[in-house]
Amino acid sequence: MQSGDEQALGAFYDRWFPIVSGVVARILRSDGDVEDVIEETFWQAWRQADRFVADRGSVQTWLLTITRSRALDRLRAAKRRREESLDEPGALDAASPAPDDAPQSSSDPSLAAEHAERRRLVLDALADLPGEQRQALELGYFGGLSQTEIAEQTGQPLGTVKTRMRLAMQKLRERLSILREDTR
Amino acid sequence: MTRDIGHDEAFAALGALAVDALDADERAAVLAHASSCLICRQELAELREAASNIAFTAPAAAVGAESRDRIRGRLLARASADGRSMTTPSRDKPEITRTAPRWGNAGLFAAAASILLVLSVAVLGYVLRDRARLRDAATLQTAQAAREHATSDSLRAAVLSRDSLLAGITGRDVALMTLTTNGTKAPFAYMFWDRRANTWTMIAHNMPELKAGRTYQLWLVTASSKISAGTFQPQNGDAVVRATYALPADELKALAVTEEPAGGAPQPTSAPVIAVTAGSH
Repeated sequence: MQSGDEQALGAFYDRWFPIVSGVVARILRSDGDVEDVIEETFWQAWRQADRFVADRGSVQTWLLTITRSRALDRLRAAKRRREESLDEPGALDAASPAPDDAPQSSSDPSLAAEHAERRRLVLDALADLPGEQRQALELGYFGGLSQTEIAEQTGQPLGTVKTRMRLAMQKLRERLSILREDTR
Repeated sequence: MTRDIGHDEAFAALGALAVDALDADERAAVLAHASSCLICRQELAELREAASNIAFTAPAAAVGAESRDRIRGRLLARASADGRSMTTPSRDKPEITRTAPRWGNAGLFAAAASILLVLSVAVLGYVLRDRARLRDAATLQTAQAAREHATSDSLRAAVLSRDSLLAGITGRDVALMTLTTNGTKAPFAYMFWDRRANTWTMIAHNMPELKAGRTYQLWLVTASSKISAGTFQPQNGDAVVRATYALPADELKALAVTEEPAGGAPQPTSAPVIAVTAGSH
């Protein structure tokens, strides 16, 4: 894809669509925006493929950083619009767990199986975290909230939120170290 | 202005930074520290990798196959158009203005002028087509050069990295120490300490395989402290560890490698796997 091969873009899209679409849908919860943000995410990856440096991290980390950034930008813009119009309450719904817990979809069975296995491992790792640590992580990752905002949202002291976030990430990293080589 | 923060404070905030949950000023301060701290950079990279896995917990049911194919179609069309825009000549055509002949109804001059005009248009068309071909060729050459430049950049980076490594182990002020332990097929490592450049290059062999969630950590031991010089994961028992740390020559008492929880520990929590006492060489 770095050399501008359109076929590579198609293959890249097929490989990562299930994950990217899942994250965008989870963050935004708005069908119109979801399609738009997914497209813009892959477009940015296509245009900036030459900036990806494998030594600095995996494709997964790089692409999902773009994904979250685009989706959270859109979420925050929508939140600002709502606040300006004063016609809707806070937008943190996007950070609450999704009701639909269906597995990721993919047209490639082996890829779907790989995603399903990875999803199971990550869900197991998250399930092993104390509830308040898991909540802090999810509010940060899917809700795009800072630790200060999480403290306000949950009514917990900022120091407590920081400790929970730190412990949660340490445990998650340890539990998921077996996946590290797979993401290269 | 970015405020200065210490290593411990920055290290503790890396988890939140990995999910982008720091406020702007704290984020800037932690990133500023990490830019000059090898341990924090490695830790942050691993935490970001771990955080990216959270994405897999998001269900994708909200975006169905129809949407998937629609987005795919739009994306490839954009990419295709994007590619064409590099090689297709501009649609802007030069205007060809006709000047009315000054000679009124003089048939002969009018005929001659018409012939000249036809010839001129033909020549102009040829020139324009030629120019378009030249422009296409130039565009292709530019793209090719860009690709070669990118390849050249990565090769240059690899060469620089190799040169840097060689300089770190062959410099005039490099001290060599061998870290060992007892046993058959025992792990060992060579440490090259460039005391002028303050670089530490350790090449380790036969390192035992680590269990999941564990890492090796290199320590520079002085009389008053044990300084972490980074964590590493061997590949097939081998590893190259590089660090930059200024330490007066007479302060180093020993070097040691311990096994620690992934991400490393502020202080050693286990006995050295390999070690060497300074001055024993």
